Amino acid sequence: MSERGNNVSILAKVNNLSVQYGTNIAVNKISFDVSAGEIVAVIGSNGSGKTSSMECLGGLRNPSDGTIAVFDKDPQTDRKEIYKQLGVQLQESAYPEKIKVGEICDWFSSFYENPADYEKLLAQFGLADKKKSYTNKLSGGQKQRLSILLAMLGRPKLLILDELTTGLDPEARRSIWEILKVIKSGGIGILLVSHYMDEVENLADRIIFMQNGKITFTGTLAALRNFAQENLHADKWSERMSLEDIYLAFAPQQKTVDLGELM
Amino acid sequence: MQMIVKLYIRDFASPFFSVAFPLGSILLFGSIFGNEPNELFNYQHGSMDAMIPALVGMVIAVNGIMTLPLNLSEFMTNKVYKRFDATPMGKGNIILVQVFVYLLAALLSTVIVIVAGRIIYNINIVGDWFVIIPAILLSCVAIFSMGFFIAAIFKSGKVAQVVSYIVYFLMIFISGATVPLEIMPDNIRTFANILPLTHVVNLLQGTFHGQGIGEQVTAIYILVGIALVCGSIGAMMYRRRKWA
Repeated sequence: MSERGNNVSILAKVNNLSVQYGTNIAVNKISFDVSAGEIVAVIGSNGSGKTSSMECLGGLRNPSDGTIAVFDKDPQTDRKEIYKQLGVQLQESAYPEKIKVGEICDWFSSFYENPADYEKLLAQFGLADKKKSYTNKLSGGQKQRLSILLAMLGRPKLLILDELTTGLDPEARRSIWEILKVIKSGGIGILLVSHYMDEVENLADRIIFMQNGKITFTGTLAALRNFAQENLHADKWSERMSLEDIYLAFAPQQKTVDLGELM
Repeated sequence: MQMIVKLYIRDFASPFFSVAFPLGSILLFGSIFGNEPNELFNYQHGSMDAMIPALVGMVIAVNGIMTLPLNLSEFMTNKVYKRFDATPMGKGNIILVQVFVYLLAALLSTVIVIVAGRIIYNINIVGDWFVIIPAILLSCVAIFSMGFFIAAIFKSGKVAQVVSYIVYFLMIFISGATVPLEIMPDNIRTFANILPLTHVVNLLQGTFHGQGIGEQVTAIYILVGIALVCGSIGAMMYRRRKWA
């Protein structure tokens, strides 16, 4: 694995990645990396290329151009090999119907040479009493916790979590944040795609801001604030801006609806 | 594999149509017609002698044309395969296990149907098992290729499901698998000839009743052709679409 300047190992490196669907360029020459023990949040509006980039990183989609190395391997040619150390939670995927929590844990464990003890993980993730429940009977928060659990079964070094907390209530989101902090403290690198700026402020060591398929900013939250101060018009910038305010200041303006027309 | 077997059993329709339905048919039709040699079959064999190989065709079709495409397209549409691709297992291995389990179910149901026919109505199997067994296996390969083709060719899982139901029920009733073609009007018998299951039923009935390969050349050519065409187009579509 590559080493960063201060002896931190780089788990995944993306260089000039482009993804094109027909004539539509979804991802346009982006480069970034993820290191062990850090949470990198990827933010940006719908259609900005976040999921396409994550799927390329996981070898589930072919890039049109550029190079990707995950654990120094190419996800296109060594997909099965990288998944021995890569865990993912996909925005668009499901589990078979009529399967119980314990059964799916058992099944997925059998895919790995040295799987983690799922009984311990179930207890850790507050799902121990759901072992005999069918997965489609779980609440949204429980399903997402199960998703992270399944991604953790192979003792991964890198986790990709795509819109993990979308649709969850605040309590469920907070409980997932706590889980992610524990995972990170174990030295695992996490790539987190999120639309919730409070989540990103709370968890991310670094932020990747994507707009129209390009990365417009990469760096820490503090660096993003400096960037905003330098690049926003003076009458827009304020010290009190939250990450969400900064995000909205840079994001493309949505057409506002005149409520008078609806009433 | 254990999990795919569990999912198969939990999916009520597959085991019902594969085991309970043919057993019910044996008892129902047996109690109506018995197994005495009768006029319909030129007094050469009885109704159950003809029905059992036809029901073998039916259980192969249940698993190959219904269970196989329904489950494959459900996993494809719900992006379940995509999740398996994000593990060291990969979806290819899961698909292979699914095909293997449904094939095993078809063969197990075949044994159940034959044994039940033998015990309850003492059916007369004149043919050579060295001909009958390859005929059963060829029927499985052809019908399963068709099922795979249906799952692979339709982009929408819903469409694949509707098509597999139509093909399945059409073939079940107009191929001789449940209702003997001998009692059907001429135009339906002509139509039945374009249905692959008709040739499966012909091949199985012929070999069960002692015909050699030479007398079943047409059915064999047709089934090998179906296996090759459906198998190769299905595999091509599968590669192109990636099922992700």
